Amino acid sequence: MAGAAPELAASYQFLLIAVHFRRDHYAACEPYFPRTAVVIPAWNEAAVIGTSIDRLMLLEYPRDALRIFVVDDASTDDTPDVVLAKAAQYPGNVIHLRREKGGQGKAHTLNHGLEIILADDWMEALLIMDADVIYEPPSLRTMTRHFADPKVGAVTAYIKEGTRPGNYLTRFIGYEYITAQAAARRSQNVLGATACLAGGAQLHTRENLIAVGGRIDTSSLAEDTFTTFKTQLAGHRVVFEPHATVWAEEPDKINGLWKQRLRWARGNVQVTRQYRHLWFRPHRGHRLGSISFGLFWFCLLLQPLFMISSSVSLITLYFASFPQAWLAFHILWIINAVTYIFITLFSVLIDPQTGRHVWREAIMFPGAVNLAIIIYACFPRLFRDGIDELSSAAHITAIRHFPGWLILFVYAWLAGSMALAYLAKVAEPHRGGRFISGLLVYIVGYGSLLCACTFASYIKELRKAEMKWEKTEKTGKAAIPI
Amino acid sequence: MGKDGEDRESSDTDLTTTRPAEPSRAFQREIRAAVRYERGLAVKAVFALAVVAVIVTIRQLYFA
Repeated sequence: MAGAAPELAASYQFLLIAVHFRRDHYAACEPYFPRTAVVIPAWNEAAVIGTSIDRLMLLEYPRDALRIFVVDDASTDDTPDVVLAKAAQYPGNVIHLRREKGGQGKAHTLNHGLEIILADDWMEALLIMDADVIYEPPSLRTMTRHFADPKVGAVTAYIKEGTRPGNYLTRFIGYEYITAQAAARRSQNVLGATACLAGGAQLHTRENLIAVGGRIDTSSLAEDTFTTFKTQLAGHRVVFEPHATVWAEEPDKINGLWKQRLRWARGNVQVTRQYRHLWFRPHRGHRLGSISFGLFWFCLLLQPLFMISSSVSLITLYFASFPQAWLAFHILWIINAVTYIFITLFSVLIDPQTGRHVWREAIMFPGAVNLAIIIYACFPRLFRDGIDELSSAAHITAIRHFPGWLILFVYAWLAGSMALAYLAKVAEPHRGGRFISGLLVYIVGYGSLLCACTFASYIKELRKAEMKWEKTEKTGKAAIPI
Repeated sequence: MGKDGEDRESSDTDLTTTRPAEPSRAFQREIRAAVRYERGLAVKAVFALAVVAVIVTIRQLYFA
């Protein structure tokens, strides 16, 4: 029954959203416009950086309280020219910083900018963002209003997938971001413990930056999660502002997504190890050690292992005691079904604007095979009647009793779906591969693809593979939908 | 312009941070809208749970 743990934890997490209105931070908000330095690490971002700067200058924020520092990580494209042109267009608001020797990754680039920005006392708040992220005009002021409460050290925004025109993968990511950001971060607001300030939208007070050492962690691939943990360990509160919306371009190919998620997943493994003394140990100074937060963290991190253990247990039970295996299978999948219906429906309602765009991917998130198993587990008679009708239409004998191999296939599916999801990644670069890999994602489910990626991150960490910062390719396709 | 710190304006410490004594009506309206949206999520959660309950009931009555 351990296989049901992630589903039960996810349901609990979503239920917490219902009480967010009691635990949100709006009562402590006041209009507040601290002098804000925006730091943008940029390596070969010519395609996107100009638009991002233009959008920042459209922020509903006092011009004289806003400075944009582009930290150019020795770009070899037109990035310096674009930034210099913007610096001339917005004198005093846009500043170009250049590293002559780059390629060390985002954290090093950020630290170069931080060192310079912290050297004078102009900056009262610092916004770290990515070069491709587009901020909606009210977003920054809706974030800074939380700093009216001196206990707040950092605020993060709701990053939405903004690639237009997108494809099936960006729509899956769009739905995933409702669940992982709009939903999960609201529940973390309720708990008072935040897992991660979004790398593309994290706003810090000057005091908080100094409290975390004035530098971004360079020892891991999850520098944003490290900063988030350090902020809370320093006794500062982290707030997710769901009504500050920013749009980002996300990968539209599985291989791009794989690189990005492998980096994130490896980073999470590193954070888990680094803060091993913290988990499930409640503490007065912060809520990172709370049982609920630990439950959410580990259910996500260990989801591939839960899936594998479910399959192994069911197959073992199949040979040891068939009726028990059948019962366990039904209970597991009925829990899966209830969770799926609740989370899918609620997610689409949490962000109806995105929901209207991605509802098909929301339904197909678990994949066609999992959906068929869910329908069978919930409505076995309906499922069999459907099979009968299909069989008679095709003039073949209907399957009255499932053969052993089919039952074993269904039991093994949870683990097997991850292997097939990996095939989607492998197939993509080959001829006709984009069609095949897309089809595979709909069959095995986007969730299985992410789990396969997390599993790959365990292996990379165990093998102590090189920590290479592989930048996600950006082409300037992100836009704010009208 | 173009290298670290070159041509940057000097530290502008006189710039006052705007922290109005009393929040404007527009601000209060915005906060009320945000709170209303968050309250609405509680209703949406109940609605989603109700849909699950209806499906489970139908299953138990007709398709078990």
